[in-house]
Amino acid sequence: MGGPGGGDPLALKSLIKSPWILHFDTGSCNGCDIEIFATLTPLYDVERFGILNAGNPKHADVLVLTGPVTQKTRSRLLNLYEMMPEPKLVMAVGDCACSGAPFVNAYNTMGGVDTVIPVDIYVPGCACRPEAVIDGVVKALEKLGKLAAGEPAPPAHKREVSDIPLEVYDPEAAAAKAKAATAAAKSAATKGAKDAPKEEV
Amino acid sequence: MDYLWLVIATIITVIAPFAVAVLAGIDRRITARMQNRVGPPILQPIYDLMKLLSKTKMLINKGQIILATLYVTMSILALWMFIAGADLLIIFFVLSAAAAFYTLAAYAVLSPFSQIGATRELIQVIAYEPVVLMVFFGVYLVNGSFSSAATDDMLILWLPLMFAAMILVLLVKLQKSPYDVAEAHTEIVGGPEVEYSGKFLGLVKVGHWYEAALAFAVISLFFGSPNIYVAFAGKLLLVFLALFIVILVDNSTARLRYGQMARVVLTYGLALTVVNALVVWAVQEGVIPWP
Amino acid sequence: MQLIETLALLTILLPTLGALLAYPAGDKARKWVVLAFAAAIILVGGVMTLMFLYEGEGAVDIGNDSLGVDVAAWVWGITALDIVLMIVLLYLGARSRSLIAVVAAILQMVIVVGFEAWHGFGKAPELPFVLDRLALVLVAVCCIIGSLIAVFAVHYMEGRQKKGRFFAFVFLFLGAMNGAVLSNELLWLFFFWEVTTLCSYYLIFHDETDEAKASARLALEITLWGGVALAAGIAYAGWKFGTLEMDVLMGMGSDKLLGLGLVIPALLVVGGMTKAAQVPFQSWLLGAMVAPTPVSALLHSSTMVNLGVYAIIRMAPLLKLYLPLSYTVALAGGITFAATAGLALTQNNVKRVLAYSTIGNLGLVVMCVGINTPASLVAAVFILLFHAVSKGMLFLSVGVIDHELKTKDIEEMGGLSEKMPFVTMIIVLGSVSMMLPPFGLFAGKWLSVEAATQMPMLLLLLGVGSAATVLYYTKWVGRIISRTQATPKPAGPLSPYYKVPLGAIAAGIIMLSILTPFFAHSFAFPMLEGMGYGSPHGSAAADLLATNSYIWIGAVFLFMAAGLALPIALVAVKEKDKAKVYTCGEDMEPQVAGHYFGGERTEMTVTDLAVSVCAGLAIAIMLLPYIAEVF
Repeated sequence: MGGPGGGDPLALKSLIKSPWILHFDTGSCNGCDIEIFATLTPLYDVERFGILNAGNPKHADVLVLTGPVTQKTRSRLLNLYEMMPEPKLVMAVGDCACSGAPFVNAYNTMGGVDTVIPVDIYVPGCACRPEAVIDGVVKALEKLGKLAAGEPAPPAHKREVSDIPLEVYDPEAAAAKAKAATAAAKSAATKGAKDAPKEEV
Repeated sequence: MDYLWLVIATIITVIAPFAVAVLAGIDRRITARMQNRVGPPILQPIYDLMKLLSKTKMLINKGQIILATLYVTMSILALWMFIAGADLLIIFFVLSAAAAFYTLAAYAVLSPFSQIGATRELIQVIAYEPVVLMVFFGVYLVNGSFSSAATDDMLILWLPLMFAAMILVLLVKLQKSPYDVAEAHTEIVGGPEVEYSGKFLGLVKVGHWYEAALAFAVISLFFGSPNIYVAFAGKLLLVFLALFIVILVDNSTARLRYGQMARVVLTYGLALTVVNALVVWAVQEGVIPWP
Repeated sequence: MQLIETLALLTILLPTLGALLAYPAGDKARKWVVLAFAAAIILVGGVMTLMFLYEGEGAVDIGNDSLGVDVAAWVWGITALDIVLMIVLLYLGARSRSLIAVVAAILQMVIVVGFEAWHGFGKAPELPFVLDRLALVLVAVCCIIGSLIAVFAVHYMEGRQKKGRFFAFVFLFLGAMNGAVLSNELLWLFFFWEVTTLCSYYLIFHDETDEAKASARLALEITLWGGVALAAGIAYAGWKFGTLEMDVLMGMGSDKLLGLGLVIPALLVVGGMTKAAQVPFQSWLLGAMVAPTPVSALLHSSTMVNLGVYAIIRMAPLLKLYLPLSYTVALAGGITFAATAGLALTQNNVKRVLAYSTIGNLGLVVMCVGINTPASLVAAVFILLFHAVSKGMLFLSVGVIDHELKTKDIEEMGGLSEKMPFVTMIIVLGSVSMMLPPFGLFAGKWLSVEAATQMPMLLLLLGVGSAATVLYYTKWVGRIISRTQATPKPAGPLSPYYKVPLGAIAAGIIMLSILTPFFAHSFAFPMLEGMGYGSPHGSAAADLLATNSYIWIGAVFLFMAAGLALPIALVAVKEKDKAKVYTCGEDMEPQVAGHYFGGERTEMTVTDLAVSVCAGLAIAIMLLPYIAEVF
């Protein structure tokens, strides 16, 4: 998995001329999102690179992500990523997306985008400035250029999550566990003294 | 039948989408300048198309692709017929077929955005089709026939209100604010186009370009001159004028609701065309003296 | 020539015989009777059509010495049966407790019996039946499509009650329809016309639910009053002009007929409008949709309602004598078309959508007749023919859906392309043939738009109506082809009683569409000359169709075929290419419903508006002869 696939030079060259982005917030504080929206305004004019904000993964080439990927957004992120056709790029914007900081060890986050999907470009910052975002885009296009010319380029990076102790939230298991706990509490209550107050379960 | 002209029509039909792509690029450039920024290169739509064609294949079901191809072929046919000088009415029906196939293609996928977009596309159809029919009737009144072949008459002098109505139709056809209800990018994520990707999105885009080419061709009907160079230059100028008005309106307005769109386009469009037709008829019958 | 005459008479007699045999027969025997007679009728109708086309004669007079009998002598039987029929209709009106129907039936009897008493009972007509090109169109449709619908009904009616009565009336209707269309003698036309009213009553009444009884009563009321208008017009023709035969009437010049003589076409047009369920008389057709679907296909789209329009087309040369009358008729037709197209949008019950569509297309035919130019009459015949065939097929497919899936609601038909692919293709073909090039109805619409430039007001109505037509058919077809994520199980294999009629009519539509220029050039244009019009010069569409300049229509066929074939051949769908729909990242199965284009209130408002305007126009039609007399 990872990075602009296919290796077809024509595909990559045409991608350089017209990268359409899909922006997705995986649980950020919206600071980086606001900066990304600012980047898309006429002041910074990213349309001169051919960048358009496609609302739909099927139309998009670059997935621009913010936020440290909470447990809930993980499946949605994977869904969107799979729905994007190759060749595609992933850009992690902001410190949270890059490495999860300061939420890296939290129980509810995965700790950065690259624990879920391979990332091509990291754009750090808190919040990340529009100029930095544009710089990241330029670096992405340069990487594509190198790949199109057949030169070596840094591959997309994915981290393994085994070093971060995380319990991935499974809604069904949690519901089953809750149900079992309630049943156990109920049977304990009925097994107890008759004068124990009836609980509303 | 003049077979040489058919061959010329075929050649023009093949080149047409590229010309429209350049027009679309100019559109984006002018929009950018209106927003005080630089904007993409003029050939950007062609770069977009090339990128789309080089993506890996992704589709929902084959029915969607078949219907989208039917839409594109009907659009190509409509343009070819127009340049080859066919009857405007048969072109009207072919356009109707193209719109129907586009809508069916959107209905063929079970996506909420696609289905809503399809319904809105239908409402668009009922908004602009009567107006287009009346505009063709105006052409008939002045030219005496429904043929789409170019004439020497300066139709815009006879039919200024119909030109205005045609601008309304152009706004709907090119999906420009305030009437971009079917595609409604930020509202229903592309509407009928949402489930197309890569090559097939490129195909649908080319279909849109052909439809735009036909709309501009109808606009170019409004200028005529005995001298072929003057006629060509004049038609081009009129197309640019129409494009500029459309861009101006696009940048100054926000999107209307689909019900409002249908009401405005239908009532104003029909009112403008009917008044113009009445005036033309009155002048022709001598009721109103005209120098 | 003898053979054609015999075959023409057989188209009347054979179905009647079939009716008599089908009524008392047991279930199994009846099935064979129906199939045998259906095959026979198709054969008779087909051979007669082919012979007529081959011989190239303008009209075939069927009078004496056909079938070895003096046909004109049938007048005794017809007069007697006519009186019996009117008594039966009176009884039915009384049984339905409908004062309106009773009054109408009594009035009819008074007019007809009174006139016959004055005229002399049993006067043999000079030329009782004529088979000309216009009649041929309707007879062919009735025989071929009608028989196929009867075959369809064999399976459809399984498990329903009173099948003997049903098939008896279906066949009786086929015979009566043919008789009415072939009639040259106006009183015989009236007789056959009322026979179809009788058949329609019993067929709508068939299920004998309260709704069916009420609908049958409404149909009886409206069509009986149409019959009164017809009887009055015919009696006036006989009384004032001394002739009851249409060819003689057409031959009378304008000097004789202008003035009060216009009462004849006026009343016949109004009578035809009730039969064809034009606005303001449309409510009976909508009510008639409670009948079993083969009835809707046969009576209320392919044949009986076409009888009303046929009468109006026959009156076209007379209408031409006084253009204000003709243009009023055109306006009524145009408003019907536009109003019903809009009303069809508001419906979710697919039979009601098709009913409104039928009324609308017949309104289009009436409008074309009213415009009264050669090109518009060609348009009228085109629309008549292609509509009858396509609409019959659409109703039959709705019958299949109703029978197998037990639903008539558009919103419940999603996923049909997976459950019943054959029926889906038929519906797609039928709907496409109703609105898009290159199929036949588009040629009629094209000609009618060109003709409407004579009366620009009609162009507005046409534009709105055509756009609405595209809308409601696309909405329905879209719902059908919209696939669900969970693949529904395909329904079992379709009975051949369903597949054969549907397939045959579908093939017929495609063949007829390809033969459109031939139909125009070799059939419709000579037909006009027979009716006393010149050839339709000056109409680009007609010229195109006439000169076999097939290029544009051929181009449409070619491009459509390419658009269909190329993706089927070139796009290979592998599993890895398939994606899920975009639902904002959620892993869910979206459920979507349709859009409501206005509900009951819109329907009532538009209906009220259209009914008031068209009622005014109908009154105007009946008053214009008097105005013509004065001026």
